[in-house]
Amino acid sequence: MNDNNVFDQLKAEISKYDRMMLADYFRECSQKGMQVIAGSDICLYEVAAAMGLPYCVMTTVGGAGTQIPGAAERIDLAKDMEFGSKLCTCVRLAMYYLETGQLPVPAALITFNTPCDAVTTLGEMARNYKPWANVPKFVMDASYSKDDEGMKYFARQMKQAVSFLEEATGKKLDKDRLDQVCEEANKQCRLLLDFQELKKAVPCPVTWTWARDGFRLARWMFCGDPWVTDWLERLIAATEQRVKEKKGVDGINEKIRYMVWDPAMVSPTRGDYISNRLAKELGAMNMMDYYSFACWTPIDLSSEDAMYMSFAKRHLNETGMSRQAMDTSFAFAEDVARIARDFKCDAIVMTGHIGHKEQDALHEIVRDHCRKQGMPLLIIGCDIWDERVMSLDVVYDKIRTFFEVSGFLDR
Amino acid sequence: MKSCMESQVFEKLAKIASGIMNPEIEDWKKHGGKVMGYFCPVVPEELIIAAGVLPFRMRATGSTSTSRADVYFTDFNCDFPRHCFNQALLGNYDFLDGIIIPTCCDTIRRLLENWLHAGIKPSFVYQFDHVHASREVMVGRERDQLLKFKKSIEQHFKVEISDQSLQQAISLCNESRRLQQKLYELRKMDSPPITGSETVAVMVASSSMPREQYNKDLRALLDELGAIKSDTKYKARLMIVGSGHDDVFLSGIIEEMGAALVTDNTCYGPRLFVQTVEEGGTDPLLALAKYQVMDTPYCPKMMGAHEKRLQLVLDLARDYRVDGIIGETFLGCDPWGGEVFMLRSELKDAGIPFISYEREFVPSLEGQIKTRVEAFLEMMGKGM
Repeated sequence: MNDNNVFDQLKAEISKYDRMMLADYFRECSQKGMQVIAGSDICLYEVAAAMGLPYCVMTTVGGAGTQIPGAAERIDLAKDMEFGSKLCTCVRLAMYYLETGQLPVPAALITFNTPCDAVTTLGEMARNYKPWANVPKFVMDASYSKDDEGMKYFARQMKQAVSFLEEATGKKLDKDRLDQVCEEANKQCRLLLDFQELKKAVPCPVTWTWARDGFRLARWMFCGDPWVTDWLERLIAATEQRVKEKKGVDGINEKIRYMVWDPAMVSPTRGDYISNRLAKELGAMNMMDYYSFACWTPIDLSSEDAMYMSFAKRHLNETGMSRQAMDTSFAFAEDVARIARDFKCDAIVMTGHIGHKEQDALHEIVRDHCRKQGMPLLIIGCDIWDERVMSLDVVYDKIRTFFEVSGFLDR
Repeated sequence: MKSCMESQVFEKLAKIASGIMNPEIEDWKKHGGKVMGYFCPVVPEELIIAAGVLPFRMRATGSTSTSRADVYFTDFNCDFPRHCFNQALLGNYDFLDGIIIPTCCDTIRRLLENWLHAGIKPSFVYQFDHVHASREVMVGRERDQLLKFKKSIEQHFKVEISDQSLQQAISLCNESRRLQQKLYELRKMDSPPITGSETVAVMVASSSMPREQYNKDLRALLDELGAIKSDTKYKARLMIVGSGHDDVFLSGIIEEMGAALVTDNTCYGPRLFVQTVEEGGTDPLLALAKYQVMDTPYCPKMMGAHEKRLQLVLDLARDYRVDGIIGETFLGCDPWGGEVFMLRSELKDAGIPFISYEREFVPSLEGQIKTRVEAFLEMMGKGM
């Protein structure tokens, strides 16, 4: 089997799981009699996996709703509901799915203030959604201080959330099963890091989507599932082979390496379109995005308290967007510059997504930091979930022009 | 509704509310006093007062532009903090000796880093990482955060905040709360002696001047108001719900349209005084923590407390015999956007007419808003 076939095979194995982000999927789970838990965002995935509970992550459902047929109409209907005119479109759609009864009544609801105000608001709305009046609810408060006390504060609440889940669902968490999930998750974490290391090779051996897919599988959809470990191992083997052969992606003559510090390129439809076009037409490789840049500390299983501290750290420090939104602008800028160096990037692109209030407020600090590092930076200012605000071709053109004026197209 | 008040005390308070710097602060500074700016009522003024420092609640009264702040923020950020930051960049807050920026919302939270990055005076900038959910188990965490905050003030200003001084500050602020409650009580009357716009000015002044003087002035004002026999006619009794507007844009429109603004639930309104901080206990920090987390979770960023917020709105609507409510939020304020959405259906269920609109910090679209208020009055059968 040549290596393209291996990558095709790996892609084929996971493409069927895209629908696990859709509202339809969770309704089907519910219709089959499964207990579904809901959360305003991703949290405690290891526990949900160990308890065998499908986890309806409302923001992810909202984001997925912008990528399937009927997105524009759906977004317009959501706008008509007047949740706030400058709200993130992803969260707006999550609210729309909630308020139009398209999410199943969950067995339990967990809400929290990560990563941003919009998601906090979504959580409050879910808590007060009348058809869910009888749903058991639990609210967690994350500290913005990343000190030990702040982590312990959140870890304690996570532990309480598990007791809450047990009571709400009537399912007892099997500690051995949780250990198994965590041990497997740790292996997957290691593999994801190994994969990132391989990606640093010049030329870059793979397109950007693989890290994103690996993250989605390992951290959320199938957290701690051994088949994901196997999938990651095969991905790494195929990538390693390309690195040994000093081979890049077929059909791409790598000339530019850039990173997108935003979840924009996480969106399969839009991100793939722009990244693929930049790669094919300009030889520009998207090296990293901040969903892929996550999950590097193993879960400490030496004690229960240590485990919950690990969960808290993972959630607040090592989950895409939580890290970027909750930490300081200075930490954000440091991350950007360091990762750009590590991945030998020529430039950084920030989409400046209009829904990210906390990121809209740190542009000057990042700009200044990049300027001092001599790293070209482009901040676009688009809605990553609604291409009618700025079309994909305009986004592409802006990035292309940025590369051109930076002198990268002359290489 | 027209004012029937001619009061020198009111004129003084209204002047204080109409700008940033005022004679009270000038006098305080002249006598060597320190002034500490802070955003949002989640920061307990009591701690600042107990340190012998004058608290000044940040606002951007009179600001007309965000041109300098726009280097740091985008149009998608709420423009209230942007206007404040613009004022800071212009040097209009140079009289401050310190500033407290809480983690109350994403845009305000980021002010801290931008403040430091821009090298704006003052050098003492502190982030108050308060609790964001209303649960009894979180009161202890809030107390810990207050203790850190207290130590930081003590260290910077080289003062000791004793339990006794904190108790005194709590009593002082509670006194303001009781007086403000009395002020609002007057608006329950058929013909209130003070208008909504005038009340906004009195409330805004409270966090821009020494508290002892404010209480003295407010007592005097209440005496004057008590003697007024008002027989003002109006079309309807209205209430505003929303974020922290420190101007009289909407109240002015309401009054111009012949209606009375009889109460509100905004960041300068009853949520500041409907509860008092427990006095006389052994742990004043704990009393402040409980007040913030459990008693007054009225900012929609406080999770798990929407029911309490709704109840406050319903209680106010009942007590002040409100005919209709207008929701007013800043563009880009996600927490209030969601809150107003929920209120829309809940107030409908309660049979209370409700409209809402989003606005920029600098009043705009006046004609459009007048039309909406007029239509609202007509919808309630109060148009003529």
